[in-house]
Amino acid sequence: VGHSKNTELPASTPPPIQQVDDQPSDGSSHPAPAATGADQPEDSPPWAVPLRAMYQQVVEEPLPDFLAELIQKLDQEGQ
Amino acid sequence: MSKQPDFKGELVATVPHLRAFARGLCGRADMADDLVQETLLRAWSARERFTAGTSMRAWTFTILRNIWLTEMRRNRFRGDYDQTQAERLLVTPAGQEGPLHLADLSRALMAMPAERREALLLVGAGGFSYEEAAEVCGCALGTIKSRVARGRAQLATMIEEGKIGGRAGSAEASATLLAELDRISTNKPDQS
Repeated sequence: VGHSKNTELPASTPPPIQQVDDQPSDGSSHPAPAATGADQPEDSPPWAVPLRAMYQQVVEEPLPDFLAELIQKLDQEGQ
Repeated sequence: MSKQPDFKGELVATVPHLRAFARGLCGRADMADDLVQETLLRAWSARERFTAGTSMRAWTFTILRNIWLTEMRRNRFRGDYDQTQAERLLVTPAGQEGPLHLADLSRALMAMPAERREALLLVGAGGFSYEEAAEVCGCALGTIKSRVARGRAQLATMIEEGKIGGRAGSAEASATLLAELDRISTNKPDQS
């Protein structure tokens, strides 16, 4: 199976994910689908509320121009 | 194999989340957006490796985290640590009361070990499952649970006692940061 080294990501860092079948174990490989069940954290537990608010504040910010332009370029490349 | 239009749409939809994760990791908006830009470029280059139907967020967060670790090692972050922020940390009054401000929360996160910070960001802020967070960080499920538990406790203590901050701009802080990086990169257990 093709465990190709990914030159885009640092060789000095450990494989960020577990090996999954024939997927490479570098940072560009895909993690297993989200697990479900007992190990799921609670949905918005009280301790996480401020963290989520902080996170959401950034999520809702408008994108800076250079990122919007990059997305535009990817759009054009994808046509 | 991914179908490109779906990939592109999913990738674009993930950008705000990447920004939020990156901002929490490095505490600086400018560097966070640089991280996101690099992540987008790498994800786009590696798009054929993405399996449609799986989590784009987990995949791209993994890429972003790896870039962040590399940038930290290259001194790009350590060398020009946000002095303004460090000064704010030093003047944060002890025992402050009242509603928690998000800026205080951000400072508290930056003052804790990076491995706890990323665990809290993934599970607490981003709503990742423990399994997904463990995959993004390349560590065991028990490790991520431990980091979240310790991070929660540390965060609560810092906020309650007004110990938000510290000597974030000092050489001592840089040394601590390096030690944390080594621990994260080599997957050593959290001993702090």
